[in-house]
Amino acid sequence: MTMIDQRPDRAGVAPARRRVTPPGGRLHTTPPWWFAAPAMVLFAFVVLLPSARGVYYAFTDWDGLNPVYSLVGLDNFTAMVRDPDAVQAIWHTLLIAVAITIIQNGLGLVLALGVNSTIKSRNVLRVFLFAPAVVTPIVTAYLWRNLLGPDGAVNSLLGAVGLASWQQDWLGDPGLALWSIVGVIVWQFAGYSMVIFLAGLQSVPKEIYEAADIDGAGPVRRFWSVIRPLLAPAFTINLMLSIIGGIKLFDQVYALTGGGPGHATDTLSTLIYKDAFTLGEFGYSIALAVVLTIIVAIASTGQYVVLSRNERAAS
Amino acid sequence: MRRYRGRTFGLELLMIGVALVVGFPLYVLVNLAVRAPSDTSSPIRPTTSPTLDNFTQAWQQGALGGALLNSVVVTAVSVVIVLAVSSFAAYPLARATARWSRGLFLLIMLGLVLPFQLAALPLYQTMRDLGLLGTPWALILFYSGLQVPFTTFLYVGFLRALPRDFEDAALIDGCTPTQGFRYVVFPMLKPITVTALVLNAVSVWNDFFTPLLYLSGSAQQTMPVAIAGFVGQYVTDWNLVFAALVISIVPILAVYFALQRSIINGFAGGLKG
Amino acid sequence: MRTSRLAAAAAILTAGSLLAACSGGTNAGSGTTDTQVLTLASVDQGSIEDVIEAFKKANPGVDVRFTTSGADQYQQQIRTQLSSGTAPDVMSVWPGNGNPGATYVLAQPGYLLDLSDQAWAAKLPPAIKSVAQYEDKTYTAIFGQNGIGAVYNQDALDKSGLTPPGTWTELLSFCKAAAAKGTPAFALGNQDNWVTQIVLYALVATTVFGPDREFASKMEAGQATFADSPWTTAMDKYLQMEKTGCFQKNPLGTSYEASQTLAATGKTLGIIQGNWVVALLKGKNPAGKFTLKALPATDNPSEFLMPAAAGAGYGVNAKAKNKDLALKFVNFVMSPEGMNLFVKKQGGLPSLPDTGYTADPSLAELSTYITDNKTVPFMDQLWPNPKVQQTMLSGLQEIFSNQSTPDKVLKAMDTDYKAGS
Repeated sequence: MTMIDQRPDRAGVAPARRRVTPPGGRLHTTPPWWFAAPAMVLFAFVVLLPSARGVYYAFTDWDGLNPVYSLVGLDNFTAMVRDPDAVQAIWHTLLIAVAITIIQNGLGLVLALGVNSTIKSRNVLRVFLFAPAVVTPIVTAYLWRNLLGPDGAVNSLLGAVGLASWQQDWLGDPGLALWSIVGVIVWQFAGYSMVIFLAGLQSVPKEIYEAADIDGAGPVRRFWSVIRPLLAPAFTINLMLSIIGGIKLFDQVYALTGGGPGHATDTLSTLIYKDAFTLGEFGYSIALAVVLTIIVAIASTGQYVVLSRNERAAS
Repeated sequence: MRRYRGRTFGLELLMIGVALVVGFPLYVLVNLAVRAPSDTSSPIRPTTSPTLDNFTQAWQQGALGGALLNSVVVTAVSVVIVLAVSSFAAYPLARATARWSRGLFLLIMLGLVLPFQLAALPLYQTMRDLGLLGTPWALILFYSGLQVPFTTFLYVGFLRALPRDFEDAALIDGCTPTQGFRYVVFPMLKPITVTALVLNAVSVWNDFFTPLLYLSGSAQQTMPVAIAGFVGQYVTDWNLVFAALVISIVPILAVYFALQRSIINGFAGGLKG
Repeated sequence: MRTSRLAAAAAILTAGSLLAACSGGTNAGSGTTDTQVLTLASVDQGSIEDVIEAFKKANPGVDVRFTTSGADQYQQQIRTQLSSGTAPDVMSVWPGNGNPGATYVLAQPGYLLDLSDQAWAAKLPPAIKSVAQYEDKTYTAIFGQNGIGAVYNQDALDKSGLTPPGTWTELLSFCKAAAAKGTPAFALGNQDNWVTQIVLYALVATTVFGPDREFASKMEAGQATFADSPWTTAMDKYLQMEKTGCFQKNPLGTSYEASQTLAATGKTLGIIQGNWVVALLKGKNPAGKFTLKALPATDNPSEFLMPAAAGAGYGVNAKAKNKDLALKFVNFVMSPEGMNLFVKKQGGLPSLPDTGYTADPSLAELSTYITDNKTVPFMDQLWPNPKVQQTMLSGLQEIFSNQSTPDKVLKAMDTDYKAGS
């Protein structure tokens, strides 16, 4: 716990603190705290207080319907250890989250650099590459189920270009289904990461690019020594959002495979949903949600500490 | 200004190639939306006799007009509220070094982490007690709070990377902190505001279950709920669904396109001014 | 009570007019010009709309506010609303038990209104009545019934020169011959996990209930189990069909939707499914001719049984704001007009005799089986909890991907069954 308490402190606030005395020697006036009040009130009302009340159910055997239920202490949590589905789901969840974080952001960054160049189609491409992120996840999942079917477009395309040996039962093979899901998510959200990187690139004043051009810096050197440091906040935001989103992922998995074949692609979120609403084990599902919260908190805090240190080093 | 060189042309071709791969499923979507339901040929093959019937039928059957209006109102109002309160909150959170600022920021981060399953039922019951169920206000209140952590996180991240010199100058010139925010800080946040606007609009616009639950029993609907009306367990007319879907994504893409152009023209001026 | 007053306030806001909230209930007769509002939540997408239209036409001045959604989302919605006291007046309810929106599950905590006094309740055939009731009171207005069998595509059969098999041995040679011609016998969409059970149910009906019609009550009494019963035979036959090539390649990667396309376009000779699939196949191939027949599971056709069971119906909220109107609606659903409208649109059969309904000729064999009392309910409708079915569904997917064996799955189902409700 000490790590969690201390690191965000140094990491989060330090960049501002380091500049307390700018070149002119002026002192900063801090914006007043009440600027944060309206946001905090809304946030507390909609998220914080109801969540705190919701945690209560994790200690009950409520089925989500019957007005009669009882407190069962930590039973739901001890039951989890003995539930092979839950253990497996935690593993799948982490695997998906890490894979998505790496691939989606790598691709997103490359796309952002591409459309931030002087190419003529940049405006159209910015919209086009982002378009998949706008389509309702349930429907993209339906589309992809169609494309990834045994006789679907992906296999036909592979056959047509002479790669028939690469044809697969993309969603039906339990060893492959998880990776097919990752592929669909990357397709849908690479454009999302691109948009955030793009906002970062657009915050880089044109003068800096021009200066680098005049210096005759090559594209690689220009990226590494000029652009990358300025993109640090975009990196932090993107990596944080994708690790958190990856761990909480639900819609796409549920609609693509429903957690199947068997339990081969069950994640914590699909399990929470099934337990709460298909099996009527509401209390247990909330206990799973509490575990999910803890996993996300640890993963994101750890990542934030590392990223903020880099951000500080870059600035 | 950087010039268009041979290398740029290569990049252009490459990016268009990537876009084609990414766009392929979208092509299937549109291709099926303009196809008569009886046409069962491969979804890849271009539709031989395209028709706009699905669009008119979806529009009428799904009462999409009313749903579109509801979706626009709910999305627009909630996104404006979220952007306003979050950017306002991000200013002290990014700049202040005091203990409370750090604590508040961590609390906001907690909001990103909490799975929504925890809050869903208690919040629904609070809305019931306030008598807001069945009205768009329940949704607006819900999204205004739900999107605060994400949006504040975006703003704080970008604000920390911006130099303080401009605000300091404004404060020394006699601006109050509110004026400083209004005239100096917020304009500098334009690129991230546009991004946050679009990303928030996408989440709010596409949410299905909350409007289904919160508006149930009223005559109001949002786009995803109206579209889901076409998707049956046993009877599914996907051509209609896709036509409705194309109708539903156009407004968001249009907003994004319009705003993207405005940033590019406006941003350089914003910094110099 | 504070909550109910607030709920009433919410209703006023919702209706947008005081008139609507004040006119509820008593003056439901004819001649009133006040708008009455009925709230309803349904899973019958694509058919409820027509029934509501007809209901409004028959009852001028009545407005119906309804939501439709898929089964999963509906179950989530209705449970949240019932436990928060905000559920609509009328809602979809599944027959029997073993599903989070089923009659037992919702009636047991007292959320449903007793409908035993309605005229149709006494007329329901025994098999349907048993799953519309909880503790001998009728709670669910079940309007239709469905059966499972092999649906054949006549054009594809003609092209292949094959005829539908009449025995288990014929079925296997039919499968081999069909596969040899490059058009497998049946399409199977096991990617959607609910589909995995359909073929099994068709086999279980004859192999388990053929020799012993009382098998379900024996299980209930603890005198029989899945693992030590002909359920193992049914499982073996399912896998034998798979090995013989009765299904197209990669059933686990094929969705329900894709399986319909295969059967409708003649890429397979048919599909083993519920009668509801016939309407869907016709949608994809309007010129096609499709017939539902019993799936042979032994070599003695006289002992064949078909799974046939009540479909989802409607229940009335025990705390309905507008009880009279809600009753009027379920009674309309159970009237010949409403019932025929529903089952025609869904491609099923009415639950009550004598509605004057002419069944689609494709369902002739199913009608005969029902009349001859040669049907058994879907197996899950009387299981004590939803977990048994979920274990079976994911277990079947695991068997098809060699991650599990029939024996393991049946034993796991026994464990869940014994855990009770």
